[in-house]
Amino acid sequence: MSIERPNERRARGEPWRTDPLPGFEGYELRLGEALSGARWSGALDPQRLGAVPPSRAHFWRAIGGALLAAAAWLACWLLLFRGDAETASSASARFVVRSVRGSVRVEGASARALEVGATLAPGDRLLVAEGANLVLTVGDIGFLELLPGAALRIDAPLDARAEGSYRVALELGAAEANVAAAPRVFQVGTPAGIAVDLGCKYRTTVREDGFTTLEVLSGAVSFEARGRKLHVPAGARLSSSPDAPPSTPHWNDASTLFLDSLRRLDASASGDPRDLEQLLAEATQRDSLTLWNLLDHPDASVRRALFEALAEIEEPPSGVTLEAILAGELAARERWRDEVFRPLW
Amino acid sequence: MRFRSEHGLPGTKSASEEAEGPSDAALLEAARRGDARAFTALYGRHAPLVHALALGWVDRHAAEDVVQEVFVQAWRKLGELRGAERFRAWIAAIARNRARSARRSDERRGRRLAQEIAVDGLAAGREAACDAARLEQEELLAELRALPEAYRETIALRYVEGLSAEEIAAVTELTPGSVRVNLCRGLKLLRERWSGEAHR
Repeated sequence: MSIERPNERRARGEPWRTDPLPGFEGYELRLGEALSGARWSGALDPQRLGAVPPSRAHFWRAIGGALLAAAAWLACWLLLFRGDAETASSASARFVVRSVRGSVRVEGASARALEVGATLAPGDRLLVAEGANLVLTVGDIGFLELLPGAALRIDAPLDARAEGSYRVALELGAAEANVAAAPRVFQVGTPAGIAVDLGCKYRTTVREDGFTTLEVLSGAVSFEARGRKLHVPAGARLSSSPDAPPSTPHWNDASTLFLDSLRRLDASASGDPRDLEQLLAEATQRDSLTLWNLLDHPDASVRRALFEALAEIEEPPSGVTLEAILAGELAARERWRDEVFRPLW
Repeated sequence: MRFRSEHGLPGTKSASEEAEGPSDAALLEAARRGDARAFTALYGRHAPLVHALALGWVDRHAAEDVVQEVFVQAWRKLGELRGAERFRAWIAAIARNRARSARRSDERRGRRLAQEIAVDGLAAGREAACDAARLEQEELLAELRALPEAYRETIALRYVEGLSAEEIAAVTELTPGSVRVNLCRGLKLLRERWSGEAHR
């Protein structure tokens, strides 16, 4: 192979002479002259390359991550259903009282006191008193615990067997779901968005003003509201208000500076470059979770900077291009997440 | 011009350009097999791009380090690059992040050494003033780094490395029209800070 020697074949280009910008002709000449000495002319020091061979570490890391994720999901499923065959056999009952402690009332068409084994119907509204607690069996896919002070409504399924086949609306207080099912089967609606289960365990809390927080303890949840579809894995959280788009998910241990800049970027449609700079300055490789979720930011310059930062952490798959991200293509974002970032999160 | 052809739009290479040497894909394939000469050739083609991007973030000395570090990192991670056609975008992404990190390091170091620099500043200033052109260049590059990112990148690519709007568009994945808009806006801001008249 004939290989040219570097830096010996480039003539100096002066596009400001051949293709000047209107209104800057004289200024362009001065600028070009002033910067002429700054042009690159160095050579690569071959010693610095060392003997490190180009590797395919990424491939094996991805494979390892996928195996770990599969093992975690299986472990979660086994923990949930080990020795619980009687619950599994009553799959036809969608929401059944598994345990009740203290005062729990049911409002609605079938208003009554709750007992263990009672079946709940769509439209039933559960009110858990302070100091009380209620655990429901959710079909054959898991459990839902309502903490003291919670108010929750049972909703009709969207589809008997697929997406949204188990739906509840948390109106107030906290509920902890522990579910092992196909993605999107179980959903917790709140005044500020819907938490769509992607497998395992998470806590949703709703304040009186509808302000909602979601904290994922294992597995992952998709939180969806006002056009945002956010991926929240274990160890991450987000918050959401009824009158604003949800915040971008972040790790529980994210730095204060990172969170401050993220909060401002979330609140602004235009995206202040200083906030973006601070966010990226504070971001660690693991914060690719937040950067990936923020790829839906309305400001294209923000999306572009995030794409570049993420590409440095993990190269996007073939076909996931800057143009696709700038165009807001959700499928491209999700491919990048599923094929590349999943092992990291 | 080699840089032009390598950084031009896909599928626009002329016959004479093709005759200048192996393609990026061929060099990449050889480099992946451990051929350091092939990688050095890739370096020769793309180092000016990396340098211009780095100048948008850090001073000249740090930018030279960034160029070396970017290519060392790229060499080590060549196996992770999927698609030879993405080499330029890939190396640019590494460059931006490496330069950003270098700038953060400089800022931290700058805070720590601020007092020392203040003491030495007078002597250094007198020495630098002996080379008026160099001083002007350093001032100008400092003003360039103070511009918004989108502007300083396009300006460095045009006036330091001499790329046309079309070539910058191919590098930054913007349209040529957007590049011209960024250039005009960036020049307008830069002209408020550095006229160039005082040093003529």
